[in-house]
Amino acid sequence: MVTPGTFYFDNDRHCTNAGGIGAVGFRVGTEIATVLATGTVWTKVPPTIRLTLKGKAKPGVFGRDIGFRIVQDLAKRGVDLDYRVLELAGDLDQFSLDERVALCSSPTEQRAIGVFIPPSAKIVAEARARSKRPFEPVYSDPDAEYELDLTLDLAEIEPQVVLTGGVDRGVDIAKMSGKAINHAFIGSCGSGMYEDLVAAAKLLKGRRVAPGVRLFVVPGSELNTKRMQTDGLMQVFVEAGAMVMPAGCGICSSGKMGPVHSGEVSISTAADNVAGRFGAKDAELLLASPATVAASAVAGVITDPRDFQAFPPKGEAA
Amino acid sequence: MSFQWRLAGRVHKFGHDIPHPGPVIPKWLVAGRYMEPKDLVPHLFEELRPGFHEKCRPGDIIVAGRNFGMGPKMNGYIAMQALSLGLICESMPFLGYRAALGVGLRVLDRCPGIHDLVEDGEEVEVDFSTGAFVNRTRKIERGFDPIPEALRELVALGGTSGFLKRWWEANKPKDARPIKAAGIR
Repeated sequence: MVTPGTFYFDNDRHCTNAGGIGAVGFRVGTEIATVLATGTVWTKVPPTIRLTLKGKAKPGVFGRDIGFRIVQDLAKRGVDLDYRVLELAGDLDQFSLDERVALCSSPTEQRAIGVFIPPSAKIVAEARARSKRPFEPVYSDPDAEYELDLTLDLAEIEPQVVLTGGVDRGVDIAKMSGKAINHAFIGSCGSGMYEDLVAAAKLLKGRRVAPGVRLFVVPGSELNTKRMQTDGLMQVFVEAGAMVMPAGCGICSSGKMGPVHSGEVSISTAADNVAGRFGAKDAELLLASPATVAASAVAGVITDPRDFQAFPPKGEAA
Repeated sequence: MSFQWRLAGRVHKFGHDIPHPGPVIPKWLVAGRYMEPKDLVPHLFEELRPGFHEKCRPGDIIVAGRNFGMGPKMNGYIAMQALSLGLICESMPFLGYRAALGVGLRVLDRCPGIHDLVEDGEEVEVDFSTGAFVNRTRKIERGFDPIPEALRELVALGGTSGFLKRWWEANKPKDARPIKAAGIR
């Protein structure tokens, strides 16, 4: 439905994920009723901040890790994303569609109204193969005006663990390694894409979730659930002792299923981690990439996924 | 009857960085998604000024500083609109401005320096269609950015629901049921 070059309105603010395919969606809340009736609604063109990502991400560093670092970095520089579009630029060809979606998550929680990642030739080709209607990708003009123009070096980014209270509270995983956990969750609009599930399954294959830890896996779509059943991923999760839930938002959306209890420590790929987002207000809600969550669920303590040696450098993977 | 773009009344001055859930309207009403004026009006600004809804009068102006109404928003603007108040501030998040206009509130979201131009209880006049501001107590006049022309129809129709009602009347199929019968107020 959404193709490169699409501009659309959405009820929910996580429509920013459309940036992953080179589209832009703006949240209008209840005014979606006006869009449905009349075909459009008023809006105000937001300022755009361009962030150029330079270099290559280390093996074991995923889209979510980079997203956490992006918002942490912007917060440190005093950059307010409220009602801004964050446009990424630079060395983007290394990111698949699923990783691009992961990149969109954290800026959204920092109130960006949109995230735009210019689609690579590969992304456009993938979209053409699946789209039922013709489309043309759209890119920023060479003389486009940006409110800010910033850069971030990807090579210096380590896997992140985000402390309770906001997605910009990330620290390098070395600072948190060894901390015991009770609750783990892989899914949400930030990490429910197929590659996220594959990254987690890679670590869980032939291993078991640690005693005393419960791991929930929530595919982002019904399509993913079906695919998991046919290609063996479901088996990997079940044999590892994970609980696979129906596709959707899962635990991240208000914790009606699989919540945390008072005093527990959770590590998850939830979109956000304000206290009480999914369960007791005094539980710790740490965030990390799907690989870090899976590694930690197996070890029972926060664990760098690279310790499992499951992630050789890109291009060398079996 | 032409829409009343000019409000004249007393100032209710609030500071900078006033969040919407809590100071503007209690969090439980925001979290509980209460949207009816009767539920919201008695609680408007109760954390900062208990009994506010009984002390304010139609036409009074809420004046705030920078960054008014952060956080999940809408409920407080429903209460302000029900009390026929206006709102002017130095700045507010765009989605707050959008929510306020969506309920038909007369609001100016870019009034630099307004916080220092008024004190609580002073008599002011604001024309939301021209941006003209007068502090009658201090005899100060200023001009701010008005509600953009493109959005005045939305406000004059009482916000999104009024806008949609009019759209429906103009576009409904000939055999459409009356709006009331469809359960829409």
